[in-house]
Amino acid sequence: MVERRRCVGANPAAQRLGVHAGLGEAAAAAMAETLVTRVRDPALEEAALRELACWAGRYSPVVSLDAPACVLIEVGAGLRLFGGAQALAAAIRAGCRELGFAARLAGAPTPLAARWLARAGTDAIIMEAAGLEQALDPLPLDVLECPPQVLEMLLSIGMLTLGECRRLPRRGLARRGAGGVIEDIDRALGALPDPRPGFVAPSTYAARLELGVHEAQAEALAFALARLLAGFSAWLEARQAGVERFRVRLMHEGREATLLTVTLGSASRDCARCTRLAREHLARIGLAAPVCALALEAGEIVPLAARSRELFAQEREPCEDIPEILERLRARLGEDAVWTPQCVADHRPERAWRRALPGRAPVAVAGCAPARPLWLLMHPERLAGRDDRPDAPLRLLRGPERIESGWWENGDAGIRRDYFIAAGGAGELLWVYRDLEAPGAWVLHGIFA
Amino acid sequence: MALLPGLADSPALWRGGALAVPAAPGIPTGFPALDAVLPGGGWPVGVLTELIAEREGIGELTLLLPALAKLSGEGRWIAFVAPPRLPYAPALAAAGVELSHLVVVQPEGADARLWAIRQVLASHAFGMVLAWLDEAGGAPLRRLQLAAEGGSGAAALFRPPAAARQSSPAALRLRLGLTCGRLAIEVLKRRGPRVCEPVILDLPRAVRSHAVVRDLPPQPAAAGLPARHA
Repeated sequence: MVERRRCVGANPAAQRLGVHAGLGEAAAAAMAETLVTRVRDPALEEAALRELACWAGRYSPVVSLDAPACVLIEVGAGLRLFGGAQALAAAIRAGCRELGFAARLAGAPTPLAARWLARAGTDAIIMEAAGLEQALDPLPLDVLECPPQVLEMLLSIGMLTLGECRRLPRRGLARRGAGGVIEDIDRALGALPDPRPGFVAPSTYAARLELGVHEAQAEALAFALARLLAGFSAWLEARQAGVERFRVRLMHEGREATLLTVTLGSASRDCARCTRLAREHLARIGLAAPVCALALEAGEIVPLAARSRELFAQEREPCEDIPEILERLRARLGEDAVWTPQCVADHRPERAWRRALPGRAPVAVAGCAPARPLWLLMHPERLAGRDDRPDAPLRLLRGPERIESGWWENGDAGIRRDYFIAAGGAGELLWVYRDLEAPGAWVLHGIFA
Repeated sequence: MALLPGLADSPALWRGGALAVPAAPGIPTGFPALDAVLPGGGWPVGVLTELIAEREGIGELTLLLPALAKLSGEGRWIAFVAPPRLPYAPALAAAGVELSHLVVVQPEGADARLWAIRQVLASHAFGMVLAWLDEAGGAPLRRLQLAAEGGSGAAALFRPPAAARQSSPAALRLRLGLTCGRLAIEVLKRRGPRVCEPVILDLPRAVRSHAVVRDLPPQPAAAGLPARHA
């Protein structure tokens, strides 16, 4: 990472080659031939911080941004809910990793102390105000982030840690321009109030992820998308809301973006479910070109009650919701491949049913008295036969049932048929009809399975 | 040889004539004679059941209707995956099946079919899954059996007649045929001792197919129903 031709950060691989913050860009390039440099973008950092703050809303309603590079979460009220400070810290750490951030975490009764502890990389979680002095005393002075001349002055008089600084005469320090340092330390110890403006999550959600490597593989894109969806799901959880659909824009270099609309069967904010579904969609569409960035846009959000936790561990095998499995089947097999049969009040057998969306309230239709077969042939089959009966081995067992209807409609919607129940050679029961419009035409229309 | 007192009741003793006792009772089939030979006293849950019908139209689906009507009436969902023909709504409704709890899934192609059956079985969300599968090797069937395991629903897999000769990981395999117009169920495999005699059931059908109409002389080898299995 480069700012004004100087390195400001390096990943572990670059660090192993000796690249470190403060190095000139040319010097760094000389040390590591394959070094990839990126110019630091404060706007992106700010956006990342906001995304993290959105996500942190799932753990606490009180979140504030503390630029640069820090998000403060007030967790005191929710410790019991999340199973204690250590469990919460582990959850937050895992969540940050899922979002793709490397985070340093620390906890303390005051926001400033927590920030300093995190900056020093201690991973400490201080629960009581009494232990605060002891924890802060050994911290180096650079966590203070005070102006360079103040830091230099303190170092020049031999101060190395906060503890040493704290024990100096306050008035003397103030006279030497380091009054701010004293106030900061007081704030960190809780002696001075330290109110923070709360972070207000945006009312609409949009996130964008630049891909380092241009990617056309559905699986890799799904992986990147999972990272976006994790933040999205946390944002929804903080708002106690769900979505019924969301859009993913797959950006290509130099051409129109591919738009992917993912529709959920029911409102949800379950990250795993959204990811699964998006993966099916990604696998189905053919990508015309490699994707350089992903953008996620939420559709309309709907209120969704918080999930209640079970008092007793559930003993049954976890089972999926019906809407969830159906939407997954629809995503892979197509919208028309999943349906519910429904009765329609019509005498014509092929119009006495229709495909309906599963899960909708059925239309009440009076049941029909005459026997109907369980299987209907999509394309009725012509049978060989004479005027009065079909050829052997078919035997007519019951009939005729005259169905004559639909003559008022245009085209060939009108029918005039005599239906019989017939037995085949092996005793199977079939539903056949004689078309009265075409004498001698016997047709197999259904099977009594 | 008389058993030692107390030994007869010991759970550690397995007797050759006993049926396996599954973890969960089965779903009653609606036919007491069939329930009697099935371990668990009904369609087994959480395992695969194979139904091998000799041909279409012998009542292979009617056999399941009482269980389907009962389950759907209780608000449980039923899935038909890859049915060979259109499930006809008026007939299903007349049999008491709650259509609003019935889902038909029609995948195209063999891969999509296996995938869909597996997804539906693995979701454990359905009270009963009816699936139709023509060609399948041992490995896909084992995957389906694994997917069905642990669920609380029954899984009926309809296989072609040729499948009766192949081995299968299904826990229960039934071959369905017709004897004098009545459904004869041969238990090919179950978790328990062999059943020698087929179970003969009188299904509630539209008409008795052996009520022969004698006005036609039998003609050999005429093309009736095109050979197609359910």
